[in-house]
Amino acid sequence: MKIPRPAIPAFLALALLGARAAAAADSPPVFPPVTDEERAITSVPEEPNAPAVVLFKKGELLMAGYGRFIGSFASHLKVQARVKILTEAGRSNGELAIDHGVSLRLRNFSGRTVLPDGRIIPVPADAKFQRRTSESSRTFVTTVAFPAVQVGAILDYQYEIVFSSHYVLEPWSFSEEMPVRHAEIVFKTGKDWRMHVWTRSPLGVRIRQERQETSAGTELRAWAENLPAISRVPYGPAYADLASQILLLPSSHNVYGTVVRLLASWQTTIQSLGLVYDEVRRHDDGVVKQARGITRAGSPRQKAEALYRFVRDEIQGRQGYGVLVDPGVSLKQILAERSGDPAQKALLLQAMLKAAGIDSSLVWAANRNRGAVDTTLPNPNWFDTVLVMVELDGKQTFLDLSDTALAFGQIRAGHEGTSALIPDMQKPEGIVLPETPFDQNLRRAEIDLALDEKGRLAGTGTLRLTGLQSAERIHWQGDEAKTLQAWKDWLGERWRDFQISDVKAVEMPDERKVTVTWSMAEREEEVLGDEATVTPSAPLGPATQPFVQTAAERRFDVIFDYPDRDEVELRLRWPAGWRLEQRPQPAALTGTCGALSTALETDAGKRTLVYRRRLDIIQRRLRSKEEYEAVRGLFGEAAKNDGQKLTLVRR
Amino acid sequence: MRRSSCWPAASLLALLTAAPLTAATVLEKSIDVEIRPAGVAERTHLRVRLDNPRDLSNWSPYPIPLDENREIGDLAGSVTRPDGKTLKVSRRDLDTHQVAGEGSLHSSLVIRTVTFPAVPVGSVLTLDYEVREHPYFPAGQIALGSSEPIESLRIAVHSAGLAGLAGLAGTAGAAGAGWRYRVDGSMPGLTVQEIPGGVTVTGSKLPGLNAPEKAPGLATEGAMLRYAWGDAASWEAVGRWYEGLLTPVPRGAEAVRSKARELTAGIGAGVSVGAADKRRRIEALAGFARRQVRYVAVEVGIGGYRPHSPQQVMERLWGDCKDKALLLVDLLQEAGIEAYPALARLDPDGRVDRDFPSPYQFNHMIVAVPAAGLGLEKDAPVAGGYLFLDATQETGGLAWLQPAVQDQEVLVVRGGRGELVRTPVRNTQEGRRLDVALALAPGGEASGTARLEFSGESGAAFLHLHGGANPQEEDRVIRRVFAAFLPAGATLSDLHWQSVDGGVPEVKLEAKVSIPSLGSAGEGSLPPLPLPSMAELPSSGLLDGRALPVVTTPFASRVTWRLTLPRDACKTEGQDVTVQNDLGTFRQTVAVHGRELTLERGSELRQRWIEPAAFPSLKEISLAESRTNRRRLRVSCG
Repeated sequence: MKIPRPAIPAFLALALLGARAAAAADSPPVFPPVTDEERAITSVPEEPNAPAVVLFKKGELLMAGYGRFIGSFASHLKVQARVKILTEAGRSNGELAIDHGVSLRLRNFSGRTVLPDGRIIPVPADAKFQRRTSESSRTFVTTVAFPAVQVGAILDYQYEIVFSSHYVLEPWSFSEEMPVRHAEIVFKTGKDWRMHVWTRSPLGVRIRQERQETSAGTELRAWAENLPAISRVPYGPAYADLASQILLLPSSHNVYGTVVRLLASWQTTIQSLGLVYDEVRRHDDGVVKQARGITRAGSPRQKAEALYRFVRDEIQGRQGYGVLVDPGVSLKQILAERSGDPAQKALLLQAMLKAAGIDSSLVWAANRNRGAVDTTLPNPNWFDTVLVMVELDGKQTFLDLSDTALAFGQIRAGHEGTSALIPDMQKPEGIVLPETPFDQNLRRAEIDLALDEKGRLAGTGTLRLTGLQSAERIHWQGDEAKTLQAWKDWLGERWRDFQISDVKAVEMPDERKVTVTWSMAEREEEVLGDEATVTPSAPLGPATQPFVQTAAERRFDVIFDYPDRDEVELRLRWPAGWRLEQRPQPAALTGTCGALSTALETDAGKRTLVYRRRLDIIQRRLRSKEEYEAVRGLFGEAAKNDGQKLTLVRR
Repeated sequence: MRRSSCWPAASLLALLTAAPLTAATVLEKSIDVEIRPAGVAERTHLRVRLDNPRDLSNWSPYPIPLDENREIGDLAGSVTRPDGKTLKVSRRDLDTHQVAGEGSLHSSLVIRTVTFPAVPVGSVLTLDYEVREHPYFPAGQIALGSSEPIESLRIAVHSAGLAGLAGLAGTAGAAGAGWRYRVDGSMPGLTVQEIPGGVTVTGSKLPGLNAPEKAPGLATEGAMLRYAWGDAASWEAVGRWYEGLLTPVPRGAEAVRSKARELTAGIGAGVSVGAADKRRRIEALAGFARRQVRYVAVEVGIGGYRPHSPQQVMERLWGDCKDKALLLVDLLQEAGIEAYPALARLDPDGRVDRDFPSPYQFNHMIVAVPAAGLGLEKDAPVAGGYLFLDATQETGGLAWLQPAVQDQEVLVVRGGRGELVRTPVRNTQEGRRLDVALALAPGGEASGTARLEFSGESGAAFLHLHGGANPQEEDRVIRRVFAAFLPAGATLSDLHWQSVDGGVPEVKLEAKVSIPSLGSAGEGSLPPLPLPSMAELPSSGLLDGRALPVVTTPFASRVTWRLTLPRDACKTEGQDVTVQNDLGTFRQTVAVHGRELTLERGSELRQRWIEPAAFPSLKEISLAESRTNRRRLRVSCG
């Protein structure tokens, strides 16, 4: 389903509005005529392999009863789009899905296919399907299959979303996963509203704006032409950082002469949400008793840990709305029902910490996978979760309640090093969340092998993971047996001709450590007898080159999940009568992004060697061409060096 | 792009009814299936102990699949904490989700979910519910094992007066008319007992299942209890049932007939056409169904099994596998070519239990065309006298049947009956070929050209990529593919690729390549040679202590490596290897002519489903490949 999905407004459940939407009258669908130029398009010059192109996508947002919806506070988003199929592969863009629900009501969908010969085939009623995706939350998805989709066909569709809020916190995206020739949106806001206008336009796209005052208020038209297709690249930026977007955020509302400041600044944004948080906190029966029952004795840290574990493990996690909460669900209810989203759980933990005499702050955190935060716009939707910060033993500790694999004081890799906000109503404070140093995100393998008289290699291995490297493997599998089997399989893939046995794995979630040990022996039937070859960088190597394109071809920053260190130490012994015939060359490469070093020490007399390899990635994000070339060179050298093997042969 | 399947097979329901995929301990699992004249009542009772912190999120929400013909009856759930306190599941913990199903735009599948309250490790979840079903075919199946250990298992299937069911004559077996059951697969610890009117399967202390790599799909469930009643007890009868299902579908519309004539205009004359013209007609009509009708699955109720009318599919130009297949059948028939729908199982890891006739074992539909008189090439996918065509394949011609439908039982629905035929294996069509020509410098660096050819499914994947990806993405993929086959550190330039016309999807990738020195020369006169290390066959380690079959995709691969050496008078001896058996082949030849060293390797696997009895053969070729890969190439010079 690749037809562009419009920006569905994330709306803010502030203390708003019992207003009902005015019913929009159904009218026969009217689509703009297909122009000769549109008929003539067979490809997009800048993207010659594009399977389809958005000829136009247009939105019109009538905010809070603007214009014809007199007496209504409902907002209306009208969407109209036209897509042309350019290649056989483009036919897969012939389906559309629209999410909606009781709070985002879908109206007046119509669609059609215009065939290359000009014939028009409307989307029939039996090609439009509605599913209730959740009965309890009253959400739906409407899917559509366009008829007669073929190369050269044009797909037209339009619909309207009605919602009872004046907050749209999700930007309108001009971009799509296919090229867009023209995208525009018109925001129509009443005279009594003042709005922040925010745009983001990477990739050389220019967003133009035109403002017009009308009798009903303000109309802001924004548009962009010839937008490139947005496609994800390995180690590239998030979609939200590549798409051209616009967002209008209500900063104030004049209500009968009184100006109500809304999302005017971070302070007013926080105050607005703080009122909602206070509403949730207002009914907290049972919280103090529960907290005191859990923290009868112990140091502040012990108390904080106990409360954290209680809220993390015993309050069922639900999907939430970032930092927004439902004012109608109190702490009492969250505790009684043992269920809450991350923001609700954070509010509960904070209340319980307070009951235990421990001061704490909420922290709004933004996962970098959702795109970069632009702090100039006071949009709470930048943030995806609420953490709790406590100061213990003179150190700030951040508590994430959303995952049982996260221990006390641990946060997700996507949050590490990101800009966050302490939503203090009196004094909002921007902070940067802590980041694990690269050398603590460690994978270290120690392999000890001996060659016997028959030419069979056997020995033991240990793999130690710490920091974020271990986070990926803690609670990796459902139980111990499956974990051991998974590690055995992981090792077996790296030493295909060895039998892996006696695998043991110890997970220490609180310290973010995993230790795996094993025995290994070359399968007897694999033994060659007169030669033995080892890939010395295993099991962490051989590295492969993830950056196959040149710096000139690379258009985006390189972004790693986290910086890290890999270390391998191989000890190898062999008996008399054998000699080392092939050995890897040492490598030493240091750049701004990281370093590679390999070294081999041999002791001919004792017939032993020690091979050491270290690969460091010390920066999470690489921005310049020079840095890209450096990291490409680093992985290239690692792949090249790792490709060299150790070979022992019988004399 | 093809979808993994397009039929709401009972296997999907089995998947959804099976417990979540991870740990905990199932203290008690009891399913009581009562076959009634008005339908089937299935009561499930579950008690699950949470053994680690992740178990709750793996078991809650708990999904119960429903559909137009499956509705929930009563339902009760609770959790008992380690301190003995019991919390009941309330109404607000229940939800209903209409889901599209995998690969579908829309379906009537409904998931009723039960969310348990948050409780600590050691708590026990209890669930008891009844589902009432009106099966489209009188049959069902229940997975007996799971990834969790099961302390106590009891499955009972029994009838309530089957003999009195309308339309069923007589009784066959204890349970009534046409009653039959079978346990497919093996699982130690199970006891199967016939009871009056049915069967029970019980077990205790059943271990959690952890299927090894390349195991049959059924291994994740250990074993499957299949049961059925009624008189459709043979594959012939299942075919008859399906033909009955097709009866209400409007066929023979003038629009479809006209389209067939339009597509075959100018190809032969009348119905007495020669073999070549028949093939061209089939190509033209299959090409339309495959490439002009896009794959979109909408499966509502019986519509999950019954296709839409060919006219409707043709006019809207979209449909799922059965829509496309039936349209192709009708187009072919109009063009004077006999063709029949064939129920199939699209499943690279599974196969039909041919000893238990039931339509629920299929998840796909293809087309069977009597092959006689078509003059097909010997590699064409022909078996049982039929040429098989999959209308969901968007690439390739008559010569290619995608591997997931190869080596599968299909039920050809013809003349009021079903005929079970096993599709052929065409491993040589699933080919990879690598040709590298390099000049080796005295320091060990090498440069030259590399060419990779992919055919079959990998060829189709490349064609698909080319159809939709931007040039940068395509370039990235091609470089990565080369990197997987060339020595580490190889750099590429001047990348080209082209598709190869023919019945099997095929592409050629070409590049200039330079390879860094792979190490010091040691005591030999030549530096280490940059040679391929391609492990194509399953590792022999896969067979360690293994009792389950190995299921994999048959293939044929070939490598030719030409190295121009930096000096004359080199020779190589005794390094040719040939191991060949019923299962496959591994072969290496090495020769030096003048300064050119030529190394050729070929690996071939000819079977998809390798039973333990054939493991020695698999091990033989696998070891030959592995040992040869690891051995240095010995070249002496001067």
